[in-house]
Amino acid sequence: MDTADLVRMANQIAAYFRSYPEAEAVSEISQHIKSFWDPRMRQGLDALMASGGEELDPLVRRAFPPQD
Amino acid sequence: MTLIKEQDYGTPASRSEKMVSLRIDGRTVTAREGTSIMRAAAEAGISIPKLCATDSQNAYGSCRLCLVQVEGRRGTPASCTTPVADGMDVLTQTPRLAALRKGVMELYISDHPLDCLTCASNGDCELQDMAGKVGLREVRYGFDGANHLKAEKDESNPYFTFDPAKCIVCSRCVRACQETQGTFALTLDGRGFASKIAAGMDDGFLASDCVSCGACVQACPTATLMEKAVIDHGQPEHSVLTTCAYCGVGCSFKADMQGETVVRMVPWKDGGANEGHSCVKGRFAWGYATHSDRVTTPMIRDTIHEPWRKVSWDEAIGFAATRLKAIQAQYGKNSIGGITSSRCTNEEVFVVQKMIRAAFGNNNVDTCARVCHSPTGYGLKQTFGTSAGTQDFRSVDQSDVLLVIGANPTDAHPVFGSRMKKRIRAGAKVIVIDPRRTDLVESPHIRASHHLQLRPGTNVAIVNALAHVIVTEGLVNRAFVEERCDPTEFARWEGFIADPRHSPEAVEAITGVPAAEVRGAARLYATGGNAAIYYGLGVTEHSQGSTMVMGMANLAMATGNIGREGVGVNPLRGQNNVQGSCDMGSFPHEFSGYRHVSDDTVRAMFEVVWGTALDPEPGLRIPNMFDASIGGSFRGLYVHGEDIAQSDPNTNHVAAALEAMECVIVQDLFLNETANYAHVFLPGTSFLEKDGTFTNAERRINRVRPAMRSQTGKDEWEVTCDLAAAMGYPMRYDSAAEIMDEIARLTPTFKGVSFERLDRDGSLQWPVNDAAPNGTPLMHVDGFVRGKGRFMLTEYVATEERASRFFPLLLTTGRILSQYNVGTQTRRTGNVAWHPEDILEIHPHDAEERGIRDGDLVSLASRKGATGLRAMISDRMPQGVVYTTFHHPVTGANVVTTENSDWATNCPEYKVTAVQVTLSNQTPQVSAAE
Repeated sequence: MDTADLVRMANQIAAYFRSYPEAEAVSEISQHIKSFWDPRMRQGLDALMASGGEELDPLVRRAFPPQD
Repeated sequence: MTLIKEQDYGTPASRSEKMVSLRIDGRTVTAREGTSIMRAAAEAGISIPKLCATDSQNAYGSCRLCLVQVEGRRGTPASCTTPVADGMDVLTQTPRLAALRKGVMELYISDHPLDCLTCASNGDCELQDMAGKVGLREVRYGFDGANHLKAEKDESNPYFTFDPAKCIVCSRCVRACQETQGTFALTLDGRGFASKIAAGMDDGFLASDCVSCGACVQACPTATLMEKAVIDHGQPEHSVLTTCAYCGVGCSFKADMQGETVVRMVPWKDGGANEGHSCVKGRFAWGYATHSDRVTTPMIRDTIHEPWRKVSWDEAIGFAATRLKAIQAQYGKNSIGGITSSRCTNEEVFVVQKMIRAAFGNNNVDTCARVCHSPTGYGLKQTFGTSAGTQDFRSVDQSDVLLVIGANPTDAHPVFGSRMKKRIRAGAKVIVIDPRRTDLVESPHIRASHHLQLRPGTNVAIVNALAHVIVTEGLVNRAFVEERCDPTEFARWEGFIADPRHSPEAVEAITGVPAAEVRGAARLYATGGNAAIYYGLGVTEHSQGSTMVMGMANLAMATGNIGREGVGVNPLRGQNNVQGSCDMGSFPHEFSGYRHVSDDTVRAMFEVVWGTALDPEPGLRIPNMFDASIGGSFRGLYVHGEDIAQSDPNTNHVAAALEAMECVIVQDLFLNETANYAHVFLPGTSFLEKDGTFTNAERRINRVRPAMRSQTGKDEWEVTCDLAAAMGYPMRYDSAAEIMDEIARLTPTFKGVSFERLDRDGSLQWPVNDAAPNGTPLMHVDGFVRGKGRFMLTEYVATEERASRFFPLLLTTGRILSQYNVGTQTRRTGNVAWHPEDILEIHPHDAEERGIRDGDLVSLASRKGATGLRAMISDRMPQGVVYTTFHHPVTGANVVTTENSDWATNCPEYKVTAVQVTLSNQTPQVSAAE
């Protein structure tokens, strides 16, 4: 999957949930992506996080912390 | 099978609850107060002669044939204009009435051709019937006097003729155009003997404002307005009741047949969605079904650069299955998927998604609703608890205020558009939120109270401003909110929306809409009585499409405009079975009935019935499939009745994705643009060959019945079953009815649906279950499906697509009345008479700045691509915004649209593309009727 597309989509989701309290936003972002994204897209997001994920919105980074 | 001839009661039914009793021809008759004598008699089985009266129109009282005598009253009143009264004693047959009627008929026939035997209406002519009924045997005046017999016939319309020589000037056509259709294209010109029917300024039907809905043809009691197909073929001998396969209104039609040849399609009076009305597409544009371009034999090829080879069904299915299995062996189970069609039946869609989940072994199934109404699914589920419109179409008759957002129903949903216009003419107010000045803003006898002509991409800022006014001016319906909505979510939303940043004054610079106009619209919506929201793709096809849907739901909940007639939040669905294809489990994260694939209980139920393990993870959505193809992890696609190469955004990206795949299977009527990238072509069936159901925008499940045999020799669901079996998953049904039985078994909202019930009851609106055995015309009446209504926060986030120095205009795309979607069907009909090419509408100032004149050829360029087309200067457009359609592949309007999409659903942002328009010397190609 194209990294730029994943970043754009994830950051758009974060932009929507930013209106909510941070803990709730983080939970909703995580839930939304788990509910609607195919596993390979989520793996792409994990890979982005593993490489730093600087392009990702901070809320997305909190929702998908790097895997150990 | 017989020809269905519906009874014409002469005048519309009364809705009064009060009954009155009277005598007609000595019989005691009971009728609703307000009913005409003519109708009361007809309901009692007593037929009064008539010519100018028909029950789709208000009484007119001009033909003087329906005269009756009423005991105690003077004269012979017209039974069509005289209402029943308690104790009334009516005589419909007396020597005096017979003489009067015969005299009237003599006058009519003295100026009418005596060519009954060769007339196209022979056997279906009310004038002929009435002459017989009154016992006309001679015309004392002769036939040599002044007459209209040499009046010129107008054959300009592709579908019907107008022969003034046969006109009796009853005005039914004029009234059909006014009352039923609301176009006002026809008029009664002149006086006395010179009276005649004129289209427009008497410049012929084609050049007039006539929209060819066919209401006038249907209303005509003679052969004056006559379908050309009937002139060519003669009268039909049997009818098949079925459902139109164009837009989401889902009109019921009688297919009037001669054997397996359709002679005409006539809207069915008892059709729940259309109640006897139609548009140019459903009524006339069905000829594509037997067009010579139809491909009826399976075809395969090894690469997309080779010519097609015609093969047997077995070879095509075997070839497809072998390729798909090889791809899965090399790239993994999740490397293939499919797209279901919103033009196909519920039964066909259900088996396609079942094949993908059970035979392909993954959830890579999506549907074209992805690119239109997927935000509706998300937004309404979050707020109300289910993914569907709240009302039936009839509900609009009880509305006092219509809030129409991003929809152009008079073009895209014409039959419902006519119903809306009728309600507006009767006094309802209308607010339009749209960048374009549509017909609901201003057209004959229609003028919107407010037109919020916003900049494309700023819907959410507007809906927030409306809500801000409602909250800060004390217009919230507190009683409704307290009883029906989640108090925590409401309190949070109330605080959010009351913030001054959402005020009309604060967002005026963003939206371009004067604050006073927004405040006026908000007050009208909140206080004007029953207020209903109707919306289209101008809401959903944005990066904030889902946010906007939730914003509208917030508005309806805050004002208590939900849960009764005349109110609600209603998506106007684009294609005939968008609602159904979504209901049937076409989304990659949901089974039928909108239940997530990760729900163990639900999945287990499907696993038991389907006899196989199912994937608990969501699959790829259509745009994700394209990305994954280019990325190398997605290699095979089954495309069912959909032309993604023309309809999906950023055509070059879609083409690259399709080209990268190792097996593309297209099942369609024609070799469409997507078939250019296909390795297997499986011929499909038209709606005239299908046996099944469609579900329209009001959740109405309607039967689709075959008028002719499958031209391919197979039902489409049968082909899907064959492919599933070849993939190693045996799937067998004996009939479409059996598929519906499985749907009902697995889908709670369809629990009470069966072909048997639909054939008996006509149609049913889901949910149809133990709690609502006869269906559910109105949703959320006593409570929301999710329990308490949930207010959602809707912060405005500007789209990333911005106008710039190089691309200073914003393009928005849409549909036109005579064409449908990518034009695969309508381009193969006479409808090209009205729209032979896609046109770019541009504001006069933007055109002048660029030296563009009306009709000039222009180049339309965005960051993604460029195309050429002809310009039309139009002050319907605001400055800075241009508009076009995507009906013609030669234009390929989606070459310029972007991959931007809705944050929640990936629905593409078709409605906002930054573009530049320049004069061009390239000739755009024009589609002739193909």
